[in-house]
Amino acid sequence: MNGHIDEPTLNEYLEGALDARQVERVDEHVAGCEQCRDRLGRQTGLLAELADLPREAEPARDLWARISRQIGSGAPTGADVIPISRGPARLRHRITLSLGQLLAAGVVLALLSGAGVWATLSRAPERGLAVGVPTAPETAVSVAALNDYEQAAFDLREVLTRGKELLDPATVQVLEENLETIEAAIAETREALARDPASEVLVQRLATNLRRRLEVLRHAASVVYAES
Amino acid sequence: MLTTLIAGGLAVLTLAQQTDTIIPARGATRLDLENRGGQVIVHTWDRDDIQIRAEHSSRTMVEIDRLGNVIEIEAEARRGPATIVDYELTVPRALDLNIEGMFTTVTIEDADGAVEVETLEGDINIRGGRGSVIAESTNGEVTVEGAQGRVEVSSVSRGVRVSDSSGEILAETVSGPVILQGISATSVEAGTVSGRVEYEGTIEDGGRYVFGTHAGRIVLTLPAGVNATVALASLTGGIGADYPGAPTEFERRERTTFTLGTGSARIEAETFSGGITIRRAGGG
Repeated sequence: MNGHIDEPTLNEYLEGALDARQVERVDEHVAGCEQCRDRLGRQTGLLAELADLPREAEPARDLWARISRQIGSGAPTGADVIPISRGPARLRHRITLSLGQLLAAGVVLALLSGAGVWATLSRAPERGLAVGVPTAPETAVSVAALNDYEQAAFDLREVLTRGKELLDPATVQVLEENLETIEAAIAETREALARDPASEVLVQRLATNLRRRLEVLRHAASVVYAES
Repeated sequence: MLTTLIAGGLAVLTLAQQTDTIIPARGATRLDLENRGGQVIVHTWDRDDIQIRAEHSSRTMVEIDRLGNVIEIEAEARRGPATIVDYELTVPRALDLNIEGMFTTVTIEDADGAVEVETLEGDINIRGGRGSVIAESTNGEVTVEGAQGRVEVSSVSRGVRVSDSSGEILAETVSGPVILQGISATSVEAGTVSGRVEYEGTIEDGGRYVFGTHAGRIVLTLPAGVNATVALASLTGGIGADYPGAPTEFERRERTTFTLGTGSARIEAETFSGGITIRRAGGG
């Protein structure tokens, strides 16, 4: 074999589409060529990741129950359509809900919920979203906003938890590691805020970190949706 | 209704090993491409044609469809494992591009239309783009150079970089640096949770520039003659400035505010643990 293995041949090799003689020639070349051996290793790993992605997942009963409650009596029959105008590109299409798309419905509802809370959090610094500062007149609004946020974050995390088997494990690991990074930042900010509850800067940082967590969770949920 | 063009060389292609064809753009305004795994490289030219080269296995089919003014490209595997396709496209310079991928790296060179790229695993590199340039990778570095308009770049686990760009800039990640260089923008928002933030660019009168990180340093390199109200806050790090009109010493307190020139623009920089530095461009 002259030169290196070309890309199509490598793909055919990985898919088992070459005849025995061709396979033998590739094997011989790879044995003596570090560059092609590395390429083969990378392609094999990538194909394994792609092939391992499950195509279906059963939604949890409690998730469906909650979705049903949120949808109300007008449960989807396969023709309900929710237009999505914000969020990742994959969600900018018109999404049809059906009984067979419960997980996806959960994602959509959680995303919509998250979007509303996002808007509230975006105004948080001006409205005094200061956990542990119960004196400001707008505190009631702030606490309500925080409760909404926590519920939205919980819903979105639930979607990730239930749907993570749809995703490549490496992707799940990346998402969870970065969520941990944000959680650590939130915890550190909360601790500092407990020591200095009047700090406007800490309130700002807390709101920023909460927003970022919600954004990553929404992104994760949209990825689950795309794979469901 | 999806229209599949068969005439004129635009067809559903089933070629062994490699697809290599040129189709007339015929006034198309956008190209949509979805790729599950592999790489996508997009060049531009002044012709009203689209050249599509793709390397893939013989069991993979590259479908090229047209829906109104939108050209759609997607590969399908007839059976077996999911598809890896390496694309190299050459498209009209002003064509809008919308590229989505899973395990896909994307490189776009000299685009002059709107660009939107989203990938799960893989780096994104964009040179050019006008009007709206959006690039998002979950696990990949995002780099945009020479964009004009609304520029939104984000990652989760890697750094994001924007250079020599103008308009409005939004750059975010969770773990990694945010680096903005050669920026001429009226609005900039740059944030990360764990990583440094660097900005080198103009400050326009009336503009708004917000930089934040939880754990990392913020470095702002500004041209001479800035008119801005500057608010800096570092909870546990130091603040330093080497810029005409800025204080030379900062007391450790909640937030430090000072005015440069007329104070027309607003600059905010906050970090929980990390220092903040303001310096003049060219000042060493």
